[in-house]
Amino acid sequence: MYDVSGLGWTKHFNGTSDILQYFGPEACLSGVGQKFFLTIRIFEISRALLFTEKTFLSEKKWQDLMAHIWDTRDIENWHPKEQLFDIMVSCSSLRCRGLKMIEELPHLSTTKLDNELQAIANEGLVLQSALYNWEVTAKSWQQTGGTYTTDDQMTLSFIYFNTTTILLSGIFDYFPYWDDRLILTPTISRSNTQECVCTILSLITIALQQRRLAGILFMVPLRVAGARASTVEQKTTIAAILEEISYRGFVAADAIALDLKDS
Amino acid sequence: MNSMIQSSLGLSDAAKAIGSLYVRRQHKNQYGTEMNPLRFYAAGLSSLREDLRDSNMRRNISVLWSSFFLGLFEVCILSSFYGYINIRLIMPHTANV
Repeated sequence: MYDVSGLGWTKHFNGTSDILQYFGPEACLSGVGQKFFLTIRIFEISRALLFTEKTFLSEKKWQDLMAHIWDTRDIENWHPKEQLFDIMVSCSSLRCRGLKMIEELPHLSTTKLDNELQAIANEGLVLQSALYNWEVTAKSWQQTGGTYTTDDQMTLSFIYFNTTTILLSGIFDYFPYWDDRLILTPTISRSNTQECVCTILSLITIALQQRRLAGILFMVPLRVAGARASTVEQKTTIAAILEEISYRGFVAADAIALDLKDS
Repeated sequence: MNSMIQSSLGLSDAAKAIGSLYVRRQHKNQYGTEMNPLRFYAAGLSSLREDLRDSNMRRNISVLWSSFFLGLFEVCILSSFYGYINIRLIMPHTANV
């Protein structure tokens, strides 16, 4: 009845994205449509990052929708994570562009290749700068009013911040083309990568203790941390986290279970 | 959201699929057949297919939520989701992330 290939969820999320595109941004201007868009955004970004696929969120009309939402929405409802998600959309597009260039490599002239390598690196550096600026903004946002505040959404944001930092570096550090030409890229060092992995794992552990975030939201961070885990301890931690998420089932179902009781 | 769930059979079934799965997991399968997640899932899928064929679908925002919840159900029920990540743990060189 359900898909036993293990990829049924991606088919559903692809399908949901297709339906959303069919509805168009105009369906998300307000009300439950807008709520849906803001809910599904991170899942669509995650899908694009996981499979290095294009996301419709990078299209102008959807970016205009985000601008419209934050122009018209109560500023108190704004959270820095939305700005980070915007950067993640751009990172996803750059990953696709990088992959496309690698695939077309044999057919590119030297000049074209050099230009494209430089252009991708430049865009990567801009994104890295945006990421670091985001970190500063997010930390100052936490301290607004002289008190330090944190919430589960902020914990999630910093998990994704570290994940995106690794993903951005991953566009460049798996291939020698940039280093060969001495082109500056947003590659981070091995020790920085390990710091990011450690931060991702410790924040996910904290998030699981708080029990307010759905396990599915850790899908991409755990995948990225797993790919870059270099110690037995890190791999053991990831396995333990996955087991914990699996054991608990699905945290977001709490609300749905409550709805079931009410109806 | 509650009113949308109550007014849409497909969305109601999709939500019940996840909710009943959660309840069964929490209570070690001590619930009866009325809490059958797969039954709700199948009903939700069937309703979604009908909704997708409806020419007035654009007026029915619950279709989006139904599709999303059915996707979440797949994630919940498939241990292979975790298997997917575990495979990448074993073969990190294939991950390119």
